[in-house]
Amino acid sequence: MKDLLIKYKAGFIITIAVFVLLLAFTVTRYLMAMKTVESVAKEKLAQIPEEDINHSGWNIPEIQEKQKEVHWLERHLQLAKTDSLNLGINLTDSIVQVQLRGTVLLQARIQNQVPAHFFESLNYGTYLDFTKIATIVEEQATIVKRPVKRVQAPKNEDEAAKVKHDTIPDPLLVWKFKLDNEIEVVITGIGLNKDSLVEARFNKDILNYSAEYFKKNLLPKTYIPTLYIWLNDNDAKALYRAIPEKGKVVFRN
Amino acid sequence: MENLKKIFAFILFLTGIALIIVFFAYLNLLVIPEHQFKKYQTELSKFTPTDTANNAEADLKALNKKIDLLNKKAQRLTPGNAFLVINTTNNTFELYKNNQIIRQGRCSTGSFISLEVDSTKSFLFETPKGVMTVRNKVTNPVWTKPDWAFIEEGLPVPPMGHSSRREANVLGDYALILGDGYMIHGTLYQRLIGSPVTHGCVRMLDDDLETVYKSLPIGSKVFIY
Repeated sequence: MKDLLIKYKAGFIITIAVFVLLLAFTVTRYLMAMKTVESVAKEKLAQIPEEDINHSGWNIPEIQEKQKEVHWLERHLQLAKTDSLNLGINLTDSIVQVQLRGTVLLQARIQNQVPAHFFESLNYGTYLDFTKIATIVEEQATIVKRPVKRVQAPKNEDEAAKVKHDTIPDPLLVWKFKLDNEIEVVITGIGLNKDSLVEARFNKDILNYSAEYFKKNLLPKTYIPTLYIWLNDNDAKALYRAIPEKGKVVFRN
Repeated sequence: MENLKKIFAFILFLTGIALIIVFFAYLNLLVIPEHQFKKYQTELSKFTPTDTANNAEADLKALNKKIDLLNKKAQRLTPGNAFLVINTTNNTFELYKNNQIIRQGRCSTGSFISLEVDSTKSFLFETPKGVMTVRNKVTNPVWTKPDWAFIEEGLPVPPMGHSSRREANVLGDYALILGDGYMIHGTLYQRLIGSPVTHGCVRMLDDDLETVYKSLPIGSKVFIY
């Protein structure tokens, strides 16, 4: 053993050095990440009245469920007063829906969700903040909202006969948006008829999103909770194109 | 033999390094974000429980009453009679009656082509999103061709009211007028149904159009998203 250590000294030293460096980096990163979360949570709690945080009855599960139902219905009715299409993310029933004036126009089943339990247990005050009618403040997607194709008007009938309108199929949708209540949502479209590949796709996507997050937050200075949702791609695209820019979003959980 | 040993040791070394990297990548990419979220959720879930056991029953009763009331209000928002929902992304429709889908299928909506005439004039062939109302219903509709129909064909635009603007037998057997020049109608090009190819109107297959025409009275809502 001793001989081996002496013979491959350089190799052992490099291996240990890499391990120690990565360990130091990971521990630092972990501590920073936790500290950031703590301060972001503190900031959020400071905005919420004390009586809302310790709201009576919230500790009784049956009452909590009913209050959640009341809030969902109240928000639904509030949104129904506007003429704009809006998005409802109902995590209790695993459904994402487009609504207009109180009529549900599209319901898409959530195929997968990460974290699996997104804000299921919150105090009353933060639950109100989480489920308030939020506005999309930033968004980006792999397809355009309005796929306008500019075509020059033909000068005569011959030119008109030559005009072709070939369409290129859109890529699968990845729609990321940030809400004004400091929640980020990533909706990913998954193709149909690939059931055996779906699970692999979720893991691959999560790894990609995590790598992206890691690159942006090498040493985390801020924290925004992110909800990842996978939907049938057709539904995801219909949702994305239905919701206007700065659209309204409401959660239920 | 000595060389083989060296190669083996080198492979072992590389494997060790790779395993270390994978382990720390796993911690950084998956474990830390998960812990961050758990910590955040825990911080936001803390509260001092207020014992309301004495009032729980009364609270529950009041909440149930409120839910019933809100549900009734919410139900009143959905049109009780027939209404139509058009999905312009997937080019599909759903016809509802008494809150049940009675027919669904393919349709065609706006192509999103912007026909550029010159630097100041263009036509965008888009089906507007929102809620519209069936303003009128027509059988054997005659199409009054707008300017873009001529421009698109490379033809000179005739004056308003000119006979060349009227064309029969191109809109199918029925048309439901939605206002602002938009209609739900049939088409000669049935094979294109399901694709975004229209100038803003909604085109349907003959059978579907007939059902929609017969089911939707004037004043019915058409939701387009």
